[in-house]
Amino acid sequence: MICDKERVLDVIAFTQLYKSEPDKYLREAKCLDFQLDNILVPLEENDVLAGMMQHGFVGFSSQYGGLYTYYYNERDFQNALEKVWNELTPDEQKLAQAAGDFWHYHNTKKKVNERFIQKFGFEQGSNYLSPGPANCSCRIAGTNVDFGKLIRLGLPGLLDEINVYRVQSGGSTFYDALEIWIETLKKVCNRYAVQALDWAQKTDGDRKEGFLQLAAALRNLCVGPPQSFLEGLQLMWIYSVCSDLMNYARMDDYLGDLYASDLANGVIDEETGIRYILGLYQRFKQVGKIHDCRVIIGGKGRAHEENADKLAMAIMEASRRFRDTVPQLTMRYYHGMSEEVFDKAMQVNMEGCTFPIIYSDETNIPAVMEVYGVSEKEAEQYVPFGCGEYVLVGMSTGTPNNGVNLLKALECALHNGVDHFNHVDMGIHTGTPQELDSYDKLYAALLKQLDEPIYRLAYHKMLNYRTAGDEAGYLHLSLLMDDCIARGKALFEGGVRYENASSEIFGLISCADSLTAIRKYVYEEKRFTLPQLVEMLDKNYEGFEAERQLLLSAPKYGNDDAYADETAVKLFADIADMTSKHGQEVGLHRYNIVSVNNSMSADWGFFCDASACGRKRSSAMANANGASIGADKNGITALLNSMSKFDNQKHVGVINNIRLTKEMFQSSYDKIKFLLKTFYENGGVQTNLSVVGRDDLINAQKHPEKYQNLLVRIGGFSARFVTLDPILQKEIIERTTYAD
Amino acid sequence: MRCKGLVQFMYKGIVFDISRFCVHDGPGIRTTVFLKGCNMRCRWCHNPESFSPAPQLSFSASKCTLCGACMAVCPAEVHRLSGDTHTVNRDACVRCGACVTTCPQDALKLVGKEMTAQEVFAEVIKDKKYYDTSGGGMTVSGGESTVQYDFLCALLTLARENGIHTCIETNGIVPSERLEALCKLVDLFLFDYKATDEEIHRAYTGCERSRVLDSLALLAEKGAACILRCPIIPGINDNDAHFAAIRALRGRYSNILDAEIMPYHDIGKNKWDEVGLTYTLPDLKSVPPEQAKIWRGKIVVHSNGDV
Repeated sequence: MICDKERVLDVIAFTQLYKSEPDKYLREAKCLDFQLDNILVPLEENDVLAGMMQHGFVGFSSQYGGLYTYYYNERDFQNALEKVWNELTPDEQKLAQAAGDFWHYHNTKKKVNERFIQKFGFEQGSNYLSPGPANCSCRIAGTNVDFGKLIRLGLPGLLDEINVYRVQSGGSTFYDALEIWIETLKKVCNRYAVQALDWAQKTDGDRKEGFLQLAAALRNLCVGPPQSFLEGLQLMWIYSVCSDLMNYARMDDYLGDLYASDLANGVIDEETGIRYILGLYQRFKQVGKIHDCRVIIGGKGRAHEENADKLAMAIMEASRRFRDTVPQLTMRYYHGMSEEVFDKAMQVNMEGCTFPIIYSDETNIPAVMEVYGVSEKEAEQYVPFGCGEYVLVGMSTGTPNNGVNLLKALECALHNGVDHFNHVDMGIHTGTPQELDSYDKLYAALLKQLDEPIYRLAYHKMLNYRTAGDEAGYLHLSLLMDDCIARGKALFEGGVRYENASSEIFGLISCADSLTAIRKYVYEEKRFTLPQLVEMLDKNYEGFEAERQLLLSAPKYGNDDAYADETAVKLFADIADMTSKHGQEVGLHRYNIVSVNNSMSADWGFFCDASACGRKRSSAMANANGASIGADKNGITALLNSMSKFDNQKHVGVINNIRLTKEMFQSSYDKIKFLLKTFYENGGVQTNLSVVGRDDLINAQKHPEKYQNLLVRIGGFSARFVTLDPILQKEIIERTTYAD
Repeated sequence: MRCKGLVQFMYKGIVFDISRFCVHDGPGIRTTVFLKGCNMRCRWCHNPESFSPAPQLSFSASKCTLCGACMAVCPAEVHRLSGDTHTVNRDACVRCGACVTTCPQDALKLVGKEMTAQEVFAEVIKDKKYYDTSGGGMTVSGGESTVQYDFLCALLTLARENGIHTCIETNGIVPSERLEALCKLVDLFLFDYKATDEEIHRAYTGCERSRVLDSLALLAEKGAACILRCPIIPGINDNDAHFAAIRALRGRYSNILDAEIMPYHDIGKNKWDEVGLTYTLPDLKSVPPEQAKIWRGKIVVHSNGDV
């Protein structure tokens, strides 16, 4: 750990450096160089790969806890300053205070907010604690750089490439800055090489040998492209650490050749390869970004499929052994892929790893071509990052900085524009419940509650990019993103080929199921009026349990029921179109929705009133494109069919959570394979599989509402676990243990 | 779907469940349709709610909290609460379902729903793509699937016309002309063989074994593909004579592709009570897996034909 006093002094020096260089690109390169001199954590005895960092209070990063570009972690800085105040000289004290004042006004996020306020007169809420259906933050998340190019050219090769274009174009400070950036990376490699040699002197046996190899690898990276799997891994990791990257693209593709040639030449065996990969995983765990950290394997469009598949097998084996929340290992499925690789993916999932997450190229490549307007070859390079938003490796940005809560919008529509939970009038008056006397009027009111907020989010996203571009060249991304080098333009100044962005929607299914229930019972069957329904919701169903039961029994998404699914599909399409339209208006290449899962469906649900799907106040909303909790009662094919109904040309990522028992998976392995492959080849986007064991059965006993589709095998037939007598459930739990 | 035979597809049947992604009722991924009504009365049955051909009310006393919500909505005074008991007068029930939707504990169910063959098939065809890739299809089970014969034929015809593989589960108590007709509509029979001893068969299923064997012989004569399914109930039919008989049947009839042991389990025993019936084997325990494995070994026919 770097001590607070040093970190405060670093802020002073960083600030002086920042102010001293007027050229945007050179300033950034110098700041990065300075930053990396100070934030890198030294190599430790058990490290397999070199590279770890600890953010400074002020610095440069694509994203750091809701801050970005030139960021300022004000709270931590002020706390540290207070702590070390007496250790500073009077001059240092003054300079530190001045630096704090400077960054308070000059951090990039602040600049985005000011521009937003200039346009709209207020600041957009930045999380679910703020009222209304929309929030946003600032970041450049999820850009997947072209690691293939990095590995192919190595640092010296990248420098050569820059020089070619520099000469052609007559030179620019952009190219000069990129050269500094590459020299900085070499310096980092050298620095870690020295540390590795130090460790080699202090250790024996395998450890010593490991550090000697690591030192040699780091030195080699300064003079040429990586020649071995270890060098390739090390280069990818050192670049990621220095650039604060958290998503690692198609690793089997860009490292497959090195891995395969090492194996063929006897440089390493498979076991050593897995050990290196586990060394990388150890680093992933230290970084601990469980919502990011995607590693992609498989799929169409890999340079040398056979080599890549070999590495994919080793990566999956490493994940099986590591059995942790990172990396979010993701495999792309396609018709005709290696059966061995697919089987391995099934086996690792069957052990309850929840990885690899599987995506369908059959569904997604044609969809990505359409939604992003790109060629098939480009679409083949799609990767989901973070919670599941797509970007094109080396070709597009796609940051998802905002949340849109559809259930909250419905709450506002039912209260004439008032966020009833927070008692705040959001200012969009779409009619009282009395006035909404048809389903169409209610639906129109819902869309209207969203239209203006989504436009603001699009505008904010555009500002997020423009401001980043005004402040910096994003050298670490520009270097490895098409077509920055060839065009001589930085990422956000016309460099990146596709400047896309995404918008995370939440509460889709809770909102759709609520609309379905209202349509059926209020407008069609007239069991009660809309004002009466709103009263029940406002009272959180207290005194209205029978009505709640009725609403719960309404058709629900996830059962392959046309009535319920149509509502969800239409709502999805309408919000998608609205989002994309506003994206075009503000000048983004593409701005599309994702319906992915992070904890926000539960967290934001806490701030939502009761809903007409039967959900009570503050309960979680349905997650991503999953069914309302406990509502999918018609078997797994029905759930998958419902999930396949959305128009895949209107989104850039959805999540389908599927839960199966371990026993089912084992005893019907081939049928599960057919089930999943059929889904992937018929409009299924992806699956997050969880294979449940004994613990899940015990939890299912305690929380049956969450495990409606959990199947167990009893003698000659299968049953839904939750419908069984408690005594029998207990017996099955015991039997499962026995069978295991 | 073709319009031919539309009238036939308007036949209504009483269906008590349509279960999707069934992986143990025939090959591949299947949808199993459960029809109400049975002509046997197996004392170990785990689906006693299928005995009666009519829809009926089922009540689970262990889930009931005596809240009285059902009593309040019932138009026929079926539900009575006194002290800590909830009695259900099933004879008075008009099957309106009011109590079922009202019960907050899910303790009440209406078992059996009138549906047309067309309506049932509309559910079945939803998973066609899964049948096609996995070699699966539709299985009609029961009760005894052939009790609602016309409805069954309508359903099987729809499946056939749409290229869906068909299985039925049957206990063999079927008039021969019907069975013969079914051979043209069914790709695979899942044929129950329950006991070898004549007395036991009569006492525990209520039917004559000879009729079952006649049906099996007919299927063999027609060359209809068949899998034997043999419930093994400890102390009742888990004897060597029975296992030998199963082996003999497999040896005799080449249309029997396989035989499956269905070891006894007591999962259905509460269901008897829920539909107002008395379970007569209260002391029987579920068979442990290792026992089932031993039984499975006893019905294996060796490749040299030695039984």
